[in-house]
Amino acid sequence: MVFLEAWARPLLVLHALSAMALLGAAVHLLVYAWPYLAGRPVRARAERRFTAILLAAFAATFATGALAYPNYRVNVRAAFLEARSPEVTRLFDLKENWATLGLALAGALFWMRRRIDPRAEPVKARVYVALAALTAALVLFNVVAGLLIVMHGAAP
Amino acid sequence: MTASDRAFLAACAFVVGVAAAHALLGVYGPTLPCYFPVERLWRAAAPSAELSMCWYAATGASWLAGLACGGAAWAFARLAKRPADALTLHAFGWNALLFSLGMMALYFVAYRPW
Repeated sequence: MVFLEAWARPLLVLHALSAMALLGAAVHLLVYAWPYLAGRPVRARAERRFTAILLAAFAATFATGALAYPNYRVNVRAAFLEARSPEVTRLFDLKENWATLGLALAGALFWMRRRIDPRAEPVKARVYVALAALTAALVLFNVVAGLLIVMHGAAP
Repeated sequence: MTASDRAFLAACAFVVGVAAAHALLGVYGPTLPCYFPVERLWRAAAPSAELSMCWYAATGASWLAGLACGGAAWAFARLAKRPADALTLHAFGWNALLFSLGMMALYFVAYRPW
C-alpha cells in the first residue's frame, strides 16, 4: 500500500480547500497592494495581513499536496493517466515545479513586507507589487491546472 | 544599509537563488535522493528513474540554495555602511522577477501540456 493511500481523498479535499483560500489571499493581496503603484491610499494593515494569509495558505496547500503526491504517482499517474492522457501528467509536472517557486515567492513577500514601508519606498513598492502580481498569476494557473487534472482523473 | 534594505535585498536574493537552482536542477537532472513510492524507500537516483519521486529533493535543494543566496545578500548588506542606492534596489528586485519568469518559462517549455 502506498504512503497515506487511505487518506488520499481527505487530503485532496483539504488540498482543494486550502487552494481556494490561497487563491483568495493572492488576489486580495494584489488588489490591496496595487494602489502603491499610483501613490494612492492603501489599507496597509489589511494588505500586510494578506501576506501572512498567503504564506499560511500556500504552506497548507503545499503540504497537503506533497502528502497526497505518492498516491497520485502510483494509483493515478502510473495506473492510467500516463497512458491515457500524457499531456495531463505534463500539466501536473509543470504545476508542481511552479509551486516550488510559488511558496518561495510567498515567503519572500511575507518577509519583505515585515520590513519595508511601501508608501515611503517607491522602488521597493514597485518590485513588491510586481512579485505579488506574479504570485497571483502563478497561483491562478496552478488552481486551474489542479482542477483540470482532477476533472480528467474523475471524468476522462 | 537600513534594516529595510537588508530585508529587501535578502528576499530578492532568496527568490533568485530558488529560481536559478530549480532551473539548473531541471536542466541537468543530477542524481538526487528520490522517493520510490511502491517500495516505500528513499535512494539516490536520476529524476528519470522509473516510478521515482525526485521533486521533494529538488524542492528542498532549491530552497536551501535560496536560503544561502538570501543569507549571503543579508550578510553583505550588513557590511555596507551607506543605504542601498536605487540601482542596487532595481537590480535585485527586477532580477528576482526575471529569474522567476525564466524558471517558469523553462519548465513550461519542458512540460508543455498542449
